[in-house]
Amino acid sequence: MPNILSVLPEILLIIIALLFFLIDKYRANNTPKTFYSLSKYGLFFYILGEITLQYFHINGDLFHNTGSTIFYKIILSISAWIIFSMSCKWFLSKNLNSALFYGLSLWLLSALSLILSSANLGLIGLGIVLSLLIEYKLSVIFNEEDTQSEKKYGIFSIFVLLMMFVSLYYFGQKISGLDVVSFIKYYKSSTTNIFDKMAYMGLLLSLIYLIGIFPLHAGKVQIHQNSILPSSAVIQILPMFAGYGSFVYLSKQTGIMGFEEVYYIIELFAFLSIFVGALSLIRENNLKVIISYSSLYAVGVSILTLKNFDKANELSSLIYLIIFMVSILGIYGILFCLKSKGEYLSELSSVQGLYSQKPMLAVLLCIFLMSIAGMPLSLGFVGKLQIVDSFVLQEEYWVMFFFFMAFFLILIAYLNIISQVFFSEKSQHLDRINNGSVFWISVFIVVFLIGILNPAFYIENLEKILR
Amino acid sequence: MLNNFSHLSLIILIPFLGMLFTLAAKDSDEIKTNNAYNVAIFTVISNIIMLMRMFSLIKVDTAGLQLTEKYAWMKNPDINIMLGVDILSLMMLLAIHIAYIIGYVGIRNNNKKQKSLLVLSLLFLSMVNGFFISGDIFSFYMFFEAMLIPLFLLLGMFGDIKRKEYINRFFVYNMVGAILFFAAVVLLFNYQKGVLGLQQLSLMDLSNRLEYFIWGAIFLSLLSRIPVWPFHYWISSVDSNLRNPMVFIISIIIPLTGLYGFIRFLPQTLPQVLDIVILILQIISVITMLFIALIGFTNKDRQYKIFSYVTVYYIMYLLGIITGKEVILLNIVYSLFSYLLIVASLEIFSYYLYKEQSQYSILDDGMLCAYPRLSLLYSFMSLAAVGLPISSLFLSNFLILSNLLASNIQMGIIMLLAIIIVSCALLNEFFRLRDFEKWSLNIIEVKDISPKFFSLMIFVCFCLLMSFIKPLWFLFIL
Repeated sequence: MPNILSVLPEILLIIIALLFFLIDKYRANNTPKTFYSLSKYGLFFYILGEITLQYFHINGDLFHNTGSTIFYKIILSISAWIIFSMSCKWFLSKNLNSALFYGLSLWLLSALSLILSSANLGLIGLGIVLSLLIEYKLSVIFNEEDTQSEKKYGIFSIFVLLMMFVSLYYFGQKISGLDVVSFIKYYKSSTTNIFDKMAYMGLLLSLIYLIGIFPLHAGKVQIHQNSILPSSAVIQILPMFAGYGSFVYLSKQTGIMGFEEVYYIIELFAFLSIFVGALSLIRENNLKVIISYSSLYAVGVSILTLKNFDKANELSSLIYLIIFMVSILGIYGILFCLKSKGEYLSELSSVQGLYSQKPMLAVLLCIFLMSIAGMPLSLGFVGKLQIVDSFVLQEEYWVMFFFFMAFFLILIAYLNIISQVFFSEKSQHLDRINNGSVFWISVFIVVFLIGILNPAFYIENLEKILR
Repeated sequence: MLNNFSHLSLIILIPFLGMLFTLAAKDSDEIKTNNAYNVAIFTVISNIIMLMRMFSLIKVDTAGLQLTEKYAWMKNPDINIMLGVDILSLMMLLAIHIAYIIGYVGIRNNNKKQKSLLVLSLLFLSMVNGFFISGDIFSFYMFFEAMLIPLFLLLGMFGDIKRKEYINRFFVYNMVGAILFFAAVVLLFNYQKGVLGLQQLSLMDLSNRLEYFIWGAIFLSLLSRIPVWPFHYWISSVDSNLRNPMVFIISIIIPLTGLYGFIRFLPQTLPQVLDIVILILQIISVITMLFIALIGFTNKDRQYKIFSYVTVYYIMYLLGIITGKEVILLNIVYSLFSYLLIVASLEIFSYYLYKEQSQYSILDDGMLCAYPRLSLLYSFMSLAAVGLPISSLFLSNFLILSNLLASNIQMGIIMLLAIIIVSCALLNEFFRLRDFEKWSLNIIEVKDISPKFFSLMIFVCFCLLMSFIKPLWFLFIL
């Protein structure tokens, strides 16, 4: 008997999002605050529901939660909450209707939740389809121009989805049902051939597409250039983390035995992501795209660390990724504060001379950038230390060498930004700072301070959760 | 986490808190106030008091780190942080703090982004303090790299360096060094978890390849901070362009961190793998010394002369450290104490002259004749700088040089030649500034240095004189 209670939090999000559209249509005098408040309560009850209903499952493994999936979901919803809070002021100042943004974001969260909790390849596929559709819609809202980057993104998505459908069809023909348990059983008793590997690759590629690593990053990275700031934050952070969680979960469940070549290819992709991300950063001028290339670098590092998927590597990789997420949330917080004559700024030239106008913002931007780069006495250093230690333990000295090279490149790119922020003359007058963003940036700084003074606090707790 | 919160943590914390207070201090443009400046001065003085307290607590004759503090920082990988001091690190810290005071007093009347300069310099001081009191290789590395960010900002914002690529070059060199150091530290921690004391490194039993890599990485990273070829390039392009005296004083602390690293890491008996490296290093060092000394001598710019003096002496100290003799190390530290104070003072005087020169649009030949107080101090510092027996620089350098001459006569002679050339350059500059015949504008009413500044500098001169009599003279007072 399926226990529908386990999907109640996701259903709640879907209903709230539907409610937004009804409110938007039938209720007058709605403001972004209306939708933000509803989203806030929705997310609160979603987190509550996930925690309290974690022991309910549908058909054993069809839809179930573990400590790890709950953790991923909570991090996702908290990130969404932070972005929603910072976005509210953005919509207020632009005087735009935020119902679509909040509604779609909540739907995206439930689709990602489905990917994370499902142990059925078909359901994971459904989650990916929904996520990509919503991501696409989010990237084009309030964006009148039909640019090449959106077209490219659409083509890439269709290509990835096609590959995924073919893979699912192939597995559907071979295995009765698409649940992960049957998949494992089948491949334990039989050896894999080239088609199995290709099908598995097709499936994993769709998850990798969500994460956004090389070579499928090309469709994703450039859409940030035109998408509005709140959408950019949502589509940058949420799918990346959920895709990563699902990729790790699926790889651990199915095991890499028999599919070693697939993982070699993914390692190569991760390796190239690091370099492509670091190199592309140097010549980029849009701060949203800079964040996106930084993500390409960071997820590349995280996935490369995952080798063998043992507990220690998984922990190192996850710590690195979470610290990175906090850092980019901080940078988004700063972007939500960068406003001149009512217009939000995201070009690198707009932060020129930021120090002379808003010294605090400039210092915070420097802290978050240095954290992504992993400079000592920033929280990112803890993540970098975990990663390098993991490389040394695996005796991957060449990987470590290339990681340092990429780190060097990323540092040069960030120094260029810092130089513009601190050493240049101011380019334009900035408006008053958004207090909501300042609140969240302060929270990140507290998180950073705790992490620097006592990293064991985070690492040990994370270890317990993953256990 | 914190099992013992005491002196050493405070030494790092005080400048950091001072930085926050300086940041919060409000200065009015209408009524001339110096709140941020006063907070910064107060912070440095507080730290000097703390240092004095620590001098009174440690046993000077005892080898090894004292007043140690340990923190369990991370369990996976197992990293504990240890802090500790000995007479070497305390002397270095005291010299840096006094140099800071001299620098702050010298820039008192500057208006350009004064608060930012104070904030960043205090942040840098906090990092430098952490570096000098590090008792284990991990914290040593962390502070070694962390100090680069405030320095980068200081150079970029206040260096008045026309070409930005100089600053980037500075960062690139230093970051390559820091990355190498990091790789070595992580590899070492893979061999031995927990606390890895600085002196323990030479006692570790490592495989031949690993030994090569680790020593090579540490040596290169430390060398990247010292103006030895090819690393002299960034230092010369940055330091010789600096016009802000406080930033110059801060920038000359960077080579000091490299030297200090050598003092800490270099074992008494060097591993055989290093023999050839040391020989190459010695050859490169003396050639660099001679080269820089000659450029300093021929260059007309006073700033470059001071820079060449700084470089030649730093290389001499490096060569002294490589001998690895305990008595030489101690003398190098005594000498470095005077050396830092002398360089900081000369830089401040030079800056004062530059300012006066640009204010009155005059040539600086014979300029000191119009500034009797400044002239007196400049004379003292110039003579102390060239090694006359008025500071600990004289006896310590005598010992270092005689030792180097004894160990390798050819190298010693070239080094001596370089020191003579650079001393001539300084004296030549001093005589030019004192040349009364060329002082044609003595009718102008100029303003000599303030009595307060003069008193402070007289106190510095007194400290230097006392250091000649006994380098640790102040211990009798404590």
